[in-house]
Amino acid sequence: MNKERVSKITCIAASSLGSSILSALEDSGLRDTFVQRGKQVSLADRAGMFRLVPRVELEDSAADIYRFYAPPDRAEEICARISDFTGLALPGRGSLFVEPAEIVRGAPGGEATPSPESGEGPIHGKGALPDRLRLPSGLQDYTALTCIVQRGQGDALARTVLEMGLCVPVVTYGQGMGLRNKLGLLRITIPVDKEVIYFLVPAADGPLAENIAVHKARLDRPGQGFIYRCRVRAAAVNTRMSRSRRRHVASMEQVILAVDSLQGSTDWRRITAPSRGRGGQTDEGPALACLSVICDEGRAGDFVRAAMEAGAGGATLMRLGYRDLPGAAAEHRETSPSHARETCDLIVPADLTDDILAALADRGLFEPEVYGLVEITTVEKAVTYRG
Amino acid sequence: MPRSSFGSASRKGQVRIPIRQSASMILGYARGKLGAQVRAVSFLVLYLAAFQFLVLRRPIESALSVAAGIGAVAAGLALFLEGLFLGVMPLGERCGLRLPSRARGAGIVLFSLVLGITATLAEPAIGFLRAQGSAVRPWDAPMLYLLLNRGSPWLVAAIAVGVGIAVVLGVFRFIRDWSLKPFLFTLVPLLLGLSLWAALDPVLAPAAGLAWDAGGVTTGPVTVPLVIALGIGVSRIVGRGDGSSGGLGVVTLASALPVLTVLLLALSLGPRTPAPSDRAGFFAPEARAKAEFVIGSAEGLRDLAARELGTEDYERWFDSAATPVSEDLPPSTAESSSFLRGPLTVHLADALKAILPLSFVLIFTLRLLLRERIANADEMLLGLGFAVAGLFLFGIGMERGLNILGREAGRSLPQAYTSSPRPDRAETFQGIDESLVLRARGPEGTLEYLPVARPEGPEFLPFDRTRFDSRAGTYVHIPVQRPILADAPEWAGYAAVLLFVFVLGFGATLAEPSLNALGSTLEELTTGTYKRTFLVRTVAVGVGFGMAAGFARILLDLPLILVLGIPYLAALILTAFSSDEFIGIAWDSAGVTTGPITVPLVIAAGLGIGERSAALDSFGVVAAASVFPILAVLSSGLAVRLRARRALAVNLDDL
Repeated sequence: MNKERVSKITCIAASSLGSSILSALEDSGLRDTFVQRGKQVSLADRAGMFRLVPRVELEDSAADIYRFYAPPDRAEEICARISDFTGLALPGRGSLFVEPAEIVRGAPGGEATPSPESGEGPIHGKGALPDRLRLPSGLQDYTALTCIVQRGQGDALARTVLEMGLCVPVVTYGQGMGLRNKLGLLRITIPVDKEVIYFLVPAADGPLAENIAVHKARLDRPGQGFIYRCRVRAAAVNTRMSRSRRRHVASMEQVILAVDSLQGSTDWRRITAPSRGRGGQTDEGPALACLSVICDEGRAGDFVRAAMEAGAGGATLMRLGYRDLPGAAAEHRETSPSHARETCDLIVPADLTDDILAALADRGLFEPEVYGLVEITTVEKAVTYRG
Repeated sequence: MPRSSFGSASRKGQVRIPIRQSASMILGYARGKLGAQVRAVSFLVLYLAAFQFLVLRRPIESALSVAAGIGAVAAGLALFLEGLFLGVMPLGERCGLRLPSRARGAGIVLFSLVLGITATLAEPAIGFLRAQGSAVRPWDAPMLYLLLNRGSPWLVAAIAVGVGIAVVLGVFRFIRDWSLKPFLFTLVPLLLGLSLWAALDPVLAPAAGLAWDAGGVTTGPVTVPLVIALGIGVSRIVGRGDGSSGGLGVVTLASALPVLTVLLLALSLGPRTPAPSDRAGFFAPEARAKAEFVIGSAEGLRDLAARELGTEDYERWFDSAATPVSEDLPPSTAESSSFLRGPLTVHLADALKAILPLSFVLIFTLRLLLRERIANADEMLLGLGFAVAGLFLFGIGMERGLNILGREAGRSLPQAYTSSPRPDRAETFQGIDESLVLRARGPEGTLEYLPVARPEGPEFLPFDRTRFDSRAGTYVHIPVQRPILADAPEWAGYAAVLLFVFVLGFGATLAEPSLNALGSTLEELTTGTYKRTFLVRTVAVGVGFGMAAGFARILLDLPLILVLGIPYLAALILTAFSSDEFIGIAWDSAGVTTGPITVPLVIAAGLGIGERSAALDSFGVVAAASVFPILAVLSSGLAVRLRARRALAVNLDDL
């Protein structure tokens, strides 16, 4: 097993921006990325029949979620390049954020390996980054919340956070694996399909958004799902919550962006008073980690079972596509004939991580034909009903 | 209570649930699945029942049996769909995921060919095509009679080869990343050209409708989800991570290529088949060789002639001293078709035939050729069991429930524009003798009337001597119902029929299982940006228009090439401007729509109108019901793209 510290970069963008994003990644010297299908949800004004019954509806727009890894010292530069190529800073296009992570795999130099230009100064990718490509406000502190609920319940939650002006939710589909898999054939009576909703809110509003999600999705009741939050640093955040007609020379989203830039942070936007006496720690529970087990499609079930035997409580399975970038050096081009991957996200106590990794390795996750990889990120807090 | 700790490590194995709680879980699960299907069929059932009660003012014959049948349809659909999602589709997708990486080109070709052919042979709707043959008389359309009776094994083989080649092409299309557009722009004009040629040839003309129907009918409830799952698997493994509807398009090819193979079969049989003629012309000595080819043997032709010709004609054209005439015709394939027969064993056999061979091919391929362990094998086997049970119940339910309603409605449809006898309201009058009959002269000659006393006053009934029993002194009066739209012009009657079939097509499509499976798959692939309900409703509107067009062809005796050619050309034009994503969805929807609910209802209603309107046949309605959904989905796709462009334009404003 090889462990490596990296920056995990997540880019959520409208599907139509796909080619720009891939060009930016290629230009940054990255070799590959994982892609997941999702949607960005916003509010849209509808005039109704004969403009008699105007109403506000949820509007979905197809989005792709790119997940890739870079040396930590290159994260900001890569984000700036993506932002420049795709115009992500414009409201409505997407979000881009970075979080520290460790990736574990069988041997060095496999799939999703960060490019070799690590820690070697500012020259990266195919060319030096011009000053104009630097992020104007750098990376801002945000909280990423991931909420897993039963299929069909995501809309209500999305509408709530949109109407409260918190953020633009991003939704993907997944499958729950946990107690269900221990029920024998009776498992078919429990819906397997889940909705995974991501919220990206200013760090100060993280606890508030979490409380809203817990309350609205009734996550404090049995079998309703769970939520966890992580600290991230965002390069761009989609703030276009409503697709209503623009009536001024600048939209409200643009005004917010300008103030963020002037203030140098998003703290001015907070809608709750800062909590005192907690030293920035929001939770006194044990340290938690999110283990994302990525492997060839169709094999994750075995590894989740192994992880559960080693102490994990459950997992959310999602499909990924693997995409090798044309500009990658030939020796790093992927040799797998398959582009189909799946990821299982497990939230576990941090002290169980090594046991689970050992169990996964024993089960063969790091065998070459499995294309296995574990991504470990720190979870600030997780909430669910535990009986 | 909420807890923020994920600290307890569980090392338990299987969890045991008490029986009571298990029963409650199963009950809730069954209620949910059944409820969804009850909602899906309720529109159609309520519509047909309302039509029967409110418009035709007739009670439903054996209403209890029909109600039980409808219940069986809903239960069957629920089981079948669950079986698809648990068993058939995961098997197909797993094959697709592993095939490109573990098999070579020849292996992929062989697998795809075997799968396509097996799927066709197992397809229950093929039986409907044969059933249509029972309504065809050999002299009216010799080619049709040949293909649906003696030549039905050739027909099925041609369809199977077409589907097999389609699956091969479909799989390689994903592997090589070919667009669907070149296939469509080659195949559709080729098919239209061949159909036009066939339409101009009196021998081949009737076969054109059959060929297009074959294309629609073959892509049925088992084949479609299976090839979609297979396509999604292949597409995911070779895909580049883009294209939300990757995996679609095989159904389109599986609909189009059988049309080609059936047309080619008809072309090859054309020189040996006589042109349509009257009864005497068919048996005439100069056409004898071709007629014998159609019937299959000299003895068969002689038997048919003995039944159909008068003694004088028979003795004139056949040597009466030769082979004695048998009492019965050899059973035609149409008559021996099991699909519309009742015994439960037949339905069970049909269900097993539809599911087992396909499952065997997939499991054999996965286990022995691809060396792949089948994950969740228990769940998959349960799914296959559900699928068999579902198809079995569905078959019974369709026969006892929906088909009866559909047949009744179809038979009664011409009442909108023609008078019709009502044997269900027959009255028998006693003590009638000849002296009571009155004669009246009019422009149409002498008419006879029987005066009868009614509480509201005397009534003169038209007197029909065939219903008068002079010895018993009884007369049976069968009232004739005036056209429902008697005072309206004829076109109003036709319009009423077309409105009826539009709603019928719409309602039937809402309940189509393979369309619902496609919609669910699409919703999953697009993370809900393309909703199942949106697809189903869009397609249902298309089918409604398609059925109206198909029936307009029967009522107005329009050429098939007109009804199919114009919409297909329009579809090609829209295709040229559409994104690959919507092209796959739209053209696959065309194959999906004509499933086990729509096809029997279309045929029941079509045959009803066909008989009563004396139109040659109802072929082509299924094909028309397939093409209009393409237009509907492509149009909706263009609307979505326009909206997306507008959104982008707003974004650009923001710059």
